[in-house]
Amino acid sequence: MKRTTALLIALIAAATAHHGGAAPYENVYTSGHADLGVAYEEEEGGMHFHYHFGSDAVINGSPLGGDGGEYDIGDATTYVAPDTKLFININPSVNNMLGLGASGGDLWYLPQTQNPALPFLGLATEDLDAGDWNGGITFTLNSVTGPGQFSLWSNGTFGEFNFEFSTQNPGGTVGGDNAVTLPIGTHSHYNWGFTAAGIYEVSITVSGNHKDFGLVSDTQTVTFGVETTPVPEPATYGAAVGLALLGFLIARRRKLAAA
Amino acid sequence: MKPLLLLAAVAAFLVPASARAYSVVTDVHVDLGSITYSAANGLGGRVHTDTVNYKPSEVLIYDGPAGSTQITRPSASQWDFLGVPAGGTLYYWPQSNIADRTYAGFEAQSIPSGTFASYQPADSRVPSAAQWLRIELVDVRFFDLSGEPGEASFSLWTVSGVGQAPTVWMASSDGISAEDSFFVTEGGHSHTNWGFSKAGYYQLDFRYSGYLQGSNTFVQSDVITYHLGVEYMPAAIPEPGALWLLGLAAVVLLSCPRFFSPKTQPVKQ
Repeated sequence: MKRTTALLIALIAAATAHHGGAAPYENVYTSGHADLGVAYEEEEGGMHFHYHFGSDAVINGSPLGGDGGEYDIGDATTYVAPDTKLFININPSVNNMLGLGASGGDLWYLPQTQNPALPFLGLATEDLDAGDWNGGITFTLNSVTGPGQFSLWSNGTFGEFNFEFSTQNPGGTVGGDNAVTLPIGTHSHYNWGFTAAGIYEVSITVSGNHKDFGLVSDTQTVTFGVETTPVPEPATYGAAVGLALLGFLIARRRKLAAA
Repeated sequence: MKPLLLLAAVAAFLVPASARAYSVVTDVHVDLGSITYSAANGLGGRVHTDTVNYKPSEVLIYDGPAGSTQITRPSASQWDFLGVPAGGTLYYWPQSNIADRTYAGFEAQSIPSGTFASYQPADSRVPSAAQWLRIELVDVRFFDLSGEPGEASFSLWTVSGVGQAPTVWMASSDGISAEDSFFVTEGGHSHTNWGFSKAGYYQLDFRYSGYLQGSNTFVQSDVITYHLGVEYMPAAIPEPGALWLLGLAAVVLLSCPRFFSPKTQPVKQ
């Protein structure tokens, strides 16, 4: 009787945890194409900033296949592997924008050009209809929590650095404002740079001027794991303990039945 | 609408209907090399914008007006492949998405996943094994601002995010060989810089190839001609009928055995 009660509690704990929202560590994106995209859903809260993964995107070790998939930004982590690290020393100005010392330093970066072994992450407005908007969609960097500096830049034709975001020197970015505006119905690729290993929480706001609804926006926190991935939150440890207890009890019941 | 486009639209009605019927894609994101595959039709190509698909034979991919695509070639010898002397004018389409510029790339996102085999091409520019589709430059034809055939260089390159030497994928300035190839993965998508040594009308012939998953069978597309306007719109682009003849001529020309042996072999995973 006591065992049955314990079994029920364990089952309930596991089931309850399963119904909670997914957390970034549950979906780790390690390679393939994805965009951080913007959709507008009138019936479902308006502006929606989300991950749009391609069919070749690898999540938790397997390609998604099919038509790819859409994930809430809080449900996935983009992984930046150790072999993306390079010692960079371009010139003091570029080094400063990257958040490196005046004489350069180590930079982990996801490239603007496709390398199938790495995440190929862009920004997109492809889900939107140009007829609904005045002007484009602006992506603004709000804040970054992490062990180092973060920057986002595109490549000039001869290899120049065109910074859109920089935690080190926002005033030196293309618009001087840590913001980049894309036209409706397009996408764009960038380089994503980090100056130290660890977890980065990058808060980005997307905003635009909708013809019917005026200024609309959405803010999300994008999680990057540089050489690491986030660990489960304490609440989720509870679920893990519940599952372990369940497994133990099942094993114990089988043993008792066999005896 | 740009004045030049209006002019072109007006001019379009002044020439015979059979010769002028082409669409123009400009100033937007366009996957010029959108690679398709079906078991029935094999590998093929289309021109894919975010809203429309075109047959390559029916569309001019254009960037202009005059003066808007020009940049000065840096002096370093690593840029010699462009076919433009140091300090000379290069016409280019950017690798990055810039407002009011044509942003041309390649994609194979419509191919059902698991169609193509993973392999490591025998090519030092390709970083790792993947389900690669090869985009091979077969020929370049150039027509100057008066519509006359002429000589000009076409090139395709990428620059890394951190200021290293360019990776040159295609350059007609030193002749065209199997090395003049770019690669995109099944389900993938990629952008490059496009360089032209002169303003005018370019016809680029591409051929797509890969290895089918399971059988490792080598498959390739027909030669597909793309029409590019560099600060210039021709009065006409060849009709499909004329293209078919060009294609036939290309097949005859290429019917020597070396073109049919794969340059690279798939690696079993």
